[in-house]
Amino acid sequence: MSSPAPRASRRAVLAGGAAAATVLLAGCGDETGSGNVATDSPVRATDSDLVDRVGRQVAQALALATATGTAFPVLRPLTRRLSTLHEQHLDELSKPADGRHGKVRGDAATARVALLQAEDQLQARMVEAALAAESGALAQVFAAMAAALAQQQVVAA
Amino acid sequence: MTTEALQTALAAEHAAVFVYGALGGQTSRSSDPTLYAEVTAAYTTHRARRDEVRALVVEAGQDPVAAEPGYDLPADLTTPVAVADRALELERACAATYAYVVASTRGAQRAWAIDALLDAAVRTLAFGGRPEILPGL
Repeated sequence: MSSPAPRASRRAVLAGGAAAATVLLAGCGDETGSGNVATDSPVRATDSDLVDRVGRQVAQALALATATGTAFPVLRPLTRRLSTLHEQHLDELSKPADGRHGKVRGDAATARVALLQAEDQLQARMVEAALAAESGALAQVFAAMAAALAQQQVVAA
Repeated sequence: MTTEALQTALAAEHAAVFVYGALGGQTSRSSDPTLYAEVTAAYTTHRARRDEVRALVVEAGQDPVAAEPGYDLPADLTTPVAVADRALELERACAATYAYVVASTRGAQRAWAIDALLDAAVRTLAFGGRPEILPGL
């Protein structure tokens, strides 16, 4: 009987893909090895823009989660999980956190709904970014980030 | 590359359908209705995905890979924990496969793979998995 999926070898392939994405995200992915994304490459420029945009969106989500947890301690178990995930994703993207605080309105229940709606929107934007990415490795990273957000939505439900 | 990835996904879906069929046979509807429902839902989903990806392969002008005669199963599947563990392992393998397809495709095929990746990632939670930073990678 054969194994259902060649997981080990696929993991190795994926590790290579993720590494390539990390290199790309760090701006070290051009063929010349000069350490910068080639400015004359429309493909790379498009993906760089995508990384910048997604990084800003994740940073905004982190700011909102932080502000919500600060305003409503009862929501901290949720906001801590989300904040940790967003910080890890920003790290993957080599992007900084947003220094500003998100705006929180209403009571705890309203803030929770607003937070989860914002997370849902972020997931949709991740999917859009995965579809738009020229680089397959980058698309894979965005899709995996969207999957992580989907998991958090289920945990929060 | 695209067709190769789709064929890999089809092979994985053949395996998933087989394994979930076996897991369903080892799960009691009366004594563990939650696990039974999760296994049944997973079987239905993977069967549909198998048919979808097979259609994508045909659309790409290739002959779809056939299912193997059988697939690896643990020797002892008599406990709910063993069933859930095998299901979790399977969903993680499927998530990795879908991530590979995401990287290897574009357009509608990539959209299909993203949807499948999200579904597999969420399904791992039903079988005892924990949220991850980058499911499938």
